[in-house]
Amino acid sequence: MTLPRGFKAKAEREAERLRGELGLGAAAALPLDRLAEHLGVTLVSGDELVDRDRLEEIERLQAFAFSAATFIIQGRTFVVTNPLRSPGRLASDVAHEFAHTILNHELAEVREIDGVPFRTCLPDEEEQATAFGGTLLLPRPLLMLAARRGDGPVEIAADCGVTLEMARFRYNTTGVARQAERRSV
Amino acid sequence: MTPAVDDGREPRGGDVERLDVSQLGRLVRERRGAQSLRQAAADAGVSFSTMSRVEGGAQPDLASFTALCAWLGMPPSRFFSPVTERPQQPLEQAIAHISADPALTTEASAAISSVLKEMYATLAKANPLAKPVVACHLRAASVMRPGVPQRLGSLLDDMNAALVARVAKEGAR
Repeated sequence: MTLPRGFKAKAEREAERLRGELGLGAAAALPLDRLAEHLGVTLVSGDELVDRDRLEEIERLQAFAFSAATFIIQGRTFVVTNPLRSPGRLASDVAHEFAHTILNHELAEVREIDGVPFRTCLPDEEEQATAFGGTLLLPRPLLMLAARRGDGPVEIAADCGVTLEMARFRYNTTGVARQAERRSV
Repeated sequence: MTPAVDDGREPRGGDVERLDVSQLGRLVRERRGAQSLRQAAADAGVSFSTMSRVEGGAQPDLASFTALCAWLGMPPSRFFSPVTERPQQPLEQAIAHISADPALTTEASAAISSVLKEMYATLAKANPLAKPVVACHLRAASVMRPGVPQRLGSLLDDMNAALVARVAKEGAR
């Protein structure tokens, strides 16, 4: 499975546009609550809707089984998060869900066959949302500035409130470290 | 193409092992045989990790489940109805009557049954297998351990209901 041709560049442009609309500087961390407001999305913690015990039970059965979900109710968009997640992981989950909204992905359905629910998903759209979510949190100009400062994934993760895995992934796959190195020579 | 596990027999009360979704893993393992996990996953059209986890007893997402059923040569419905409790279908009743008719030879009843099966398969309206529980974008594990899908299904259903109630309440203000 691969992303459509030009998707990564388009994601960078879109992330830049949204950050511009929010009046953010190139090096600023993305405030997800402000982006939610900007997109007209309501963020809701899962334990505001159901007992926290139920979320904990699912987590005990399988770690990371449920992270987040987007519902559209009478034209309003709600992103429901799992309160058991760390702040960094929560940021990835929320950015992933926002990506679905920004990319205008149709809602997939959880379907039931003889009482057994099955998750339906469009693997291409999930991959796009994951890639775009990462770009929203850590766009290339932000990474480039950090790399020029000599910051690595650890500093980027701490500054931007994302997981080390996310910072490492974006830092390595965008090639900013090599680019910054070349410029400094 | 390698033969599927399904031998094509119609399920009949008592003499066919009951299948359910938890047995998917065992059947997939049997069907794979000596084939490598990677090759079998490619043949079935699912990812390596999905194949591996399903063999370990986890439930795949709907697209993977459908692909695995096709690879096994089994209709998805066979994983749900307990055979011993399944009422006799009209086609099975008709074939039983024809087989028992003394006016027909074995060959004649087999020929009529075959025509009936073919016509039934073509003309009978397919049963809707699935109804949506809830529509949402879901960030969750793509393969779930036993017990998780049911709990997650009802959790999403209740979250949806709570949000509907919230919107209605806000609208009434």
